[in-house]
Amino acid sequence: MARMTIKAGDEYMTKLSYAGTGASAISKKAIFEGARIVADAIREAIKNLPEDRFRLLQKGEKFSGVPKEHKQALLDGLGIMRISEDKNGDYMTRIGWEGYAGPKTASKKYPKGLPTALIARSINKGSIVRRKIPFVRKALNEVKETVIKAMDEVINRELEKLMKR
Amino acid sequence: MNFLVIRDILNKIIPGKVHHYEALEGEKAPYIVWAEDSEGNTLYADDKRAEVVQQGTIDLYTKKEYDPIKGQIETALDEAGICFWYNGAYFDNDTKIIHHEWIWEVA
Repeated sequence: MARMTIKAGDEYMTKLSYAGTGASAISKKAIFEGARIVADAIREAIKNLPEDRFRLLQKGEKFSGVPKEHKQALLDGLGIMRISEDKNGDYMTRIGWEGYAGPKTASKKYPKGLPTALIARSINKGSIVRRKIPFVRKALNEVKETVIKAMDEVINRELEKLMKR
Repeated sequence: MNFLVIRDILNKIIPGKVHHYEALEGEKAPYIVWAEDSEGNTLYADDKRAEVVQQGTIDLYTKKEYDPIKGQIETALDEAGICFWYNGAYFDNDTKIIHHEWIWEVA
C-alpha cells in the first residue's frame, strides 16, 4: 500500500501545545480531513481505471484493465482506518481495502471471492497476469499539496475556536 | 538529469535483462523492468514548470532469496545521486518469484 507521511513542523506543534488537552482532537480532525481527500482521490482513480473483461488468457497475454465487478469491489471495500496514536505519540491512519469481491470471483483458494486488498495490490504492482497500474501512488501525488493545505486549515480553524473560548 | 540514466545504471548490473515498461515474453528471473510513470513534486516558478520531477519505478523479479542484485541496485542509485525509496517486496506463491519495487525521482 502506498504511504504518505505528513510531518507536523515545530510551528504546528507549538500551536497545538496551546490547545492542551484539545490537541489530540484537533490532530485527529486534521488527519481525518487529509485522509478523506486521499480516499476520494483514490476512489476517482479507481473509477478511471481502464476496463477489461475477465477471460481465460492466451499464452503471453495479460490483462491491461480491470473487470467492472472488480472495480466495484474496490470502490465498496475502500475505507479509512480509525485514527490511532502510536507509542511515539504520533497520530496515524491507514487507507486500504477490506472484504471480498463476491461469490462470482470465488475459487478453491479464495472461497469467499478474491480479497479486495489482493486485487488492489495486483493492479498497483502488476502480476504475472496483469500489467501494473500504480493508481494509488498517482492519486497521492495529485492531492498531496491539497491535503497539506486542508489539514493546515483544519488546525488553524480549530485553534481559533479554542482561543475564542 | 535525464531519467535515461536509470536504464544505463541498471544495464550495468544485469546486462541484457533490463526492460522498459514490460518484460519480454518468457523472460526468466532475475530480470528488471523500469518505467517512468508519473510526475513528482515539480517546482513551479513564473507560471512555468521550472524544475520538472519525473517519477517512476524499478521492479526486480528474482527467485533468489537475499539476492545481491537488490543491494547492487540501491548502491548504484545512491552513487549516481538519484532520489529513490524502496517500496516493498512481494512474493508470488504461484511463480515463486520475489518482486522488489523501488520508486525513483529524477529532476
